[in-house]
Amino acid sequence: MALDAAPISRPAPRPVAWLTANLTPPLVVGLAIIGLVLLGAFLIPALSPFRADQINPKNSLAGPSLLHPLGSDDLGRDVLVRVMVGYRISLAVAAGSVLLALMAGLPLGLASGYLPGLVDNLIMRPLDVLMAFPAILLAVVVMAVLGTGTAVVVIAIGIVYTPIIARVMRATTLTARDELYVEAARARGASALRIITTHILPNSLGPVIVQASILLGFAVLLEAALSFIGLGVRPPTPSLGLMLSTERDFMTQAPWAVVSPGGALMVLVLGFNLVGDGLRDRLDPRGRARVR
Amino acid sequence: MGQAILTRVLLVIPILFGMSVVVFAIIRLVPGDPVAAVLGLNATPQLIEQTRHQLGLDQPLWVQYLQWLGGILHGDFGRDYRSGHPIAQLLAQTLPVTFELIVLSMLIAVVAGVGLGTVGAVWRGRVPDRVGQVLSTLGISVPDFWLGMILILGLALALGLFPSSGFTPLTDDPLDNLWHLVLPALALATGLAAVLVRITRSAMLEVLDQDFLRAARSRGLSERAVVLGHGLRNAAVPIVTVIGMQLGYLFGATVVIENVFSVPGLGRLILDSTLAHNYPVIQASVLVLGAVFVLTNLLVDIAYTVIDPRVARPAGA
Repeated sequence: MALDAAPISRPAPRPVAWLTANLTPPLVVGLAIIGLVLLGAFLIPALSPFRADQINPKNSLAGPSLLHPLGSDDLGRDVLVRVMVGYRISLAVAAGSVLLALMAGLPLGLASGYLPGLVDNLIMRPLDVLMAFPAILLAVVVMAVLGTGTAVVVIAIGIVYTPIIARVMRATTLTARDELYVEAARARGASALRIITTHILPNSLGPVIVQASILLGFAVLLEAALSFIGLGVRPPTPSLGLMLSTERDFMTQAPWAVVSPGGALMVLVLGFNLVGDGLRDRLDPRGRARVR
Repeated sequence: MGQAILTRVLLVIPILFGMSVVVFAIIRLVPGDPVAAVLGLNATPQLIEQTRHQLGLDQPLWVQYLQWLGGILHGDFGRDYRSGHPIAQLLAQTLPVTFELIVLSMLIAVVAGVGLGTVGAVWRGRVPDRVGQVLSTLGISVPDFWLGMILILGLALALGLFPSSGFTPLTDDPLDNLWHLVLPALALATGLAAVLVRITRSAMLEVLDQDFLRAARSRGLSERAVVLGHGLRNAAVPIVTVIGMQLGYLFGATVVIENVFSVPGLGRLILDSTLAHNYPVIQASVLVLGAVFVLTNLLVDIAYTVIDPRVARPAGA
């Protein structure tokens, strides 16, 4: 429709320009931490003389040294390289699961926020039930059905976070629905789909972005927890949670093999949390995103 | 206020119903034959058929659901056909342990979190405030199961202050029971305490500047009475809200923490049964932990209405 060619909506900010204009200390520190983790996760395993799965029984449970800065584990594998490869798994699972939750949660939240009544109830009531389960418990339920493995962890965490994304998207859609620019588009005869995709979605993404950044950190923790209890990533993949689980038996002889993966997890989650805090101050001052 | 509470109570019923449907679906959604998965490779076709009949899997789906739900409503969760024990008995043994752990963690989290948050608000920008904020940021980011391992390493194995694992029933020796639960409760409480520091600090900062506190001070009340009696009371609503929101985390995390400390609670039962593909036990234990969580959340909501009667207004108003 010709009239709809020039939509009246607040211009969606360009991400990079927006970020540089809104750099707060938590955001800077958080982004720096995530940047360093990414750099380490890809550079250190490439530059190290050791592979993550390189077993060396003679070097079992050796303390930190110049050759092995974080020591070695029970099978003599280099802990630093394993932690860095573990970061890749954490980041991939976190990104994959949050992406899955966004892909499912955004349309569900948009539809239920824009179409109150029957559609809203049909979508939100089942999601309310899923949200009533504690996160780990719901993930365990999914894994009891689907089994274990990296892909299943992504699906399980994605399912756990879908209702959270949907709820935040629904809340912002409900507000945006009554805004003047949406009414103007409606008056010009724009279809519901067009209003949702070109007007409501770009203007309501703030709280969703904040929520997604917070969920990334929690997804890292959830993956680690699931792998730790034996329901997540399967060995020999060096997930940080799995490393903690196997090295637990040796923690008195080789505390470094336990301290390093856990400390590494904490640093990454801290990075995501700081980014989440920084974004929340700017994008979601009304605090519609949930804490966890 | 009564009507608001009643509405909230009624809203719990469809949630519990939905939960039961999800949990019921577990065994039906397992790819392949769940009975064969449960019984393992050595199961004979007769045994598989017998177990399928025992579980009611040869009946129409809605009949299976109604029978299952009817049993649960009468306290009959079926039998764990590996050990032969009634599942209700397993739940009765494990649920109080988990509940005790959660209550203890909650106590620790509220005392530490609200305490540090209040101190931070009163001494805003000074050393205690900064310490509280750093601890809170770290506390939110620390994996609780790893913290548990570090606590075992430091306080149990190196210093010998607490037992590293195990459990003594409350009825056998209350002091030893508490001694065994201190470390798991600390590990579980840290995340919640960290969130409470933040929320208490910001809620108190908002309240501390208000006129009614100045009025209380001008009436000659001590600063302690002003902060604790008037300030904290008025900051209680967001604090209680956040406790409610975080309860789910606490309930879920027991699955991991009970594993770290070998605490024989419901979380441990859920994990053990999941690892063993013991579906009837998974169903019962997940349903019970989920339902206890929903009901605890209901209590928090009711507490919320009592603390701040302004909340007690019809839904959607």
